[in-house]
Amino acid sequence: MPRGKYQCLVCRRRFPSCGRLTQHTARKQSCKLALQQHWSTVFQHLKLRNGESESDSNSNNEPDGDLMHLVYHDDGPHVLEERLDQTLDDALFQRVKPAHETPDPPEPPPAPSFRATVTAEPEDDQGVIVDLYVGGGQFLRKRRDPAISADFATFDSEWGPFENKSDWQFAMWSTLETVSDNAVSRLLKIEALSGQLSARSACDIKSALDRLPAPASFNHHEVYVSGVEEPFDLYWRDPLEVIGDLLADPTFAGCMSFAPERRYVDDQRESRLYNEMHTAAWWWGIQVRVHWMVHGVQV
Amino acid sequence: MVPVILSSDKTQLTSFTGHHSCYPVYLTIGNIAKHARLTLSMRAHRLLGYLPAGKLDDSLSAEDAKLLRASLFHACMCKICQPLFEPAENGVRLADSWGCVRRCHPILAAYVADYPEQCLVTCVRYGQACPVCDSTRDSFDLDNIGDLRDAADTLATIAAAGAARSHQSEREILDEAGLNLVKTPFWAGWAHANIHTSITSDVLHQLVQGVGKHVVKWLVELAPAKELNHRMQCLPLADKLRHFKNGITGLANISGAEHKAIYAQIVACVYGLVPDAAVQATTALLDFLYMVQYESHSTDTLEDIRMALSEFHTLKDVFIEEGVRSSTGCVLRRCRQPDATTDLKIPKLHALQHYVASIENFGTTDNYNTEATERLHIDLAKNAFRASNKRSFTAQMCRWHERRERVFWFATHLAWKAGQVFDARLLKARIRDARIRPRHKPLFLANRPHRLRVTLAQLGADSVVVGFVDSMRAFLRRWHNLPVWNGFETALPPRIEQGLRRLPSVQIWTHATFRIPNTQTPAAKDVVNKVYASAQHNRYDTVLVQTHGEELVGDGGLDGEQT
Repeated sequence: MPRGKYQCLVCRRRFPSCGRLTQHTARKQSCKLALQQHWSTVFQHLKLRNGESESDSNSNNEPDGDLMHLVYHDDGPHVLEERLDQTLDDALFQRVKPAHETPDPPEPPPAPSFRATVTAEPEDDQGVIVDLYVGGGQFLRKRRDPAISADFATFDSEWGPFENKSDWQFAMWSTLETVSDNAVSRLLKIEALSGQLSARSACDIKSALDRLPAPASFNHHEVYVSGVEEPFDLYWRDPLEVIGDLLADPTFAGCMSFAPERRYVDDQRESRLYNEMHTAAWWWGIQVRVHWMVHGVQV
Repeated sequence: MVPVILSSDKTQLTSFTGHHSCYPVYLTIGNIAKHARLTLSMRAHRLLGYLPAGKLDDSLSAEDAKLLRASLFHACMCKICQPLFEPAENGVRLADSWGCVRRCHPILAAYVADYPEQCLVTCVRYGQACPVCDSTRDSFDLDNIGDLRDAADTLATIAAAGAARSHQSEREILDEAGLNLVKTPFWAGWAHANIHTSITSDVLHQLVQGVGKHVVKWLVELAPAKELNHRMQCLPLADKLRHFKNGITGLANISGAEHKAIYAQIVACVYGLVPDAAVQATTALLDFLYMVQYESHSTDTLEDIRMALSEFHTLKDVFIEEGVRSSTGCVLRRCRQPDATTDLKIPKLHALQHYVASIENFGTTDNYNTEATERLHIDLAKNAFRASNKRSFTAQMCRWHERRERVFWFATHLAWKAGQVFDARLLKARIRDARIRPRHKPLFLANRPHRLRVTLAQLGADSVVVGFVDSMRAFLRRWHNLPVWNGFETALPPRIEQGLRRLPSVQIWTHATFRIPNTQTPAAKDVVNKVYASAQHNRYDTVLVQTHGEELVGDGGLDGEQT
């Protein structure tokens, strides 16, 4: 059994990384169902707290397990609230302590490493306790092909619309360096070079580039403001497409995080560690709100 | 969840004939680790669009033009952000680079901008109110914050003002809240977004070019210029630090990097020239300035930040007592308010109150520093403009971007197939992971020594290495375990002494490069320091070398280290 920092709430198996844990909870039916049940209890419980459909839930669900027991606990309202919050806190994330004695086994490359920057750092994580938000960042399904290879699947050649490597390299050079189109055309006219590249002028390069799949493209829109007759020009692109491009960009593979966490430098969880955006408070709060809203609870 | 980080800033495109400007909006997401986001060659910041930046009709009054510009900004941003409103509420399925599909909620996390831009975004009055809390100008110099603003309240206030019967009552409602009348702010329909929380601290404009700059200016006014310049000139050269060989009082248009160099040197130079309280206040402020830029924070260091700030607040009155704020050389002398020059009611000073909350909410300040976006202007606006023919250039700039992004995307694809990443700065693929890449050796020396053959006799005469032979003798004595007799050191055995005399020459390196792992962000690149010991460069640097222990140098400071 692999030893690791991350433990499944249900079967108590340990995993070396968060990605493995989410994979496990997505695949193993018994754990998945148990977690779903766990969540539905939590949300029922939240609905109760909000005072919606109180009678329905009361009749349908018998208090099973610790959580429901706490809900109907007959203490004063203040105590109840306090316990409720604590239970919720316990239910929403799992407290795990990194096992110091067992170093992480190196991850095999094909597995999606969701949190490489956090869990796999050898020296830095010494003594840092990580509280993970369990319900966040899970993936729904895995596509057969990543977006980037699907984009270029239509081309027969390895070099896309270009005939060979040198054509592509020249096209990249002429686009990314600050050279004018006329200069490129004049360079291609030099006889010594003419046999080596298939492009005859800058136009040929541009037409080849236009056959490449494009990331988000720009749109033009005319904005009218009350009080001014003539329109203003706005050039913009769909932010959703831009976000999709960023997420699908393999440059950032291994340094993406999708769920919030709380990190502490001491065992008592008194001194909290802040560095990346997902270790800070805002993400956690919004994640809880989004999670509740997805399950139909308005906060 | 996808935290969206937006930033916008107007910029001049031409250097001397300043009639072309553009107004780019950038987008990045908080999922990407910050060291990757800050590496420009990884292109984590993407251009979202160009807002209209043209001149307005001259016939409008200043007040009307300001309102018109604000409503134009919000109308454009509303158009741009519209596609995110529905997914923020219900989620949208997006795939990451491995092809794993997640339900994503793009939610506005941070809006990175300078103070005028922050006011524009939040509809707050420029110079009169704080975009984050409800403090107004009168309490800008106090060490406290008001009630935090909420986007829903702001919308309600604006709606109430819009529905007001008379112009008089409309003004009263807006004046009280310190708001401007913008009918539909762009963030109104964005679920979970609270624009006032999203306004993050801005180290570059608020501290380095803001309060720090003011304090330096006051110190320069208090201290006698000649003596201060002389002291600055006397300081030794050091790595990564600008040396002011003409002093600092004559500088004009000081850049951010120059300011940082001044902060590193000024406290030692003004000591004794200005009142002690002023030195203490400056120290407290510089403590604050350096501590908020840590790449990793804990609850304890945040407490240190708070203490440094409140110490500055208790001591800051010395600058008023000394009368720097009322003198003609005051920084804010162009300010319209007649009483503005005599107090410390500066919006930037109040903004320091929100740093701790900003770090607690969104992580350390390098997550949302404007320095990164200022640099983007060069790539994404100025280079694009240069490639155009300068007539109706915005459309051409967009086409230029599209073509480049196609090239980048294909290059990324080719690099990805080879198991590498594409570096947009070097224009070639490189090895993906810093951990796979062999670590550089901690000490790097040039292949060829800087002085090939130096005899021991020359060494003694040269000022470079003082007492080399004596140290060598002491080392050999320890190496051979020679006893110390009654406090006197015994002579080396004749054989060794002879060998030492016969040693023909030594090789000398006058500079070396140290590479130390970044202790605050382990995934980031190494910290590189160059040290000199050379008469030619006129520099002799101090180096602390950890000789035993396995722990990382710099972890926990110098406590208990044997150096």
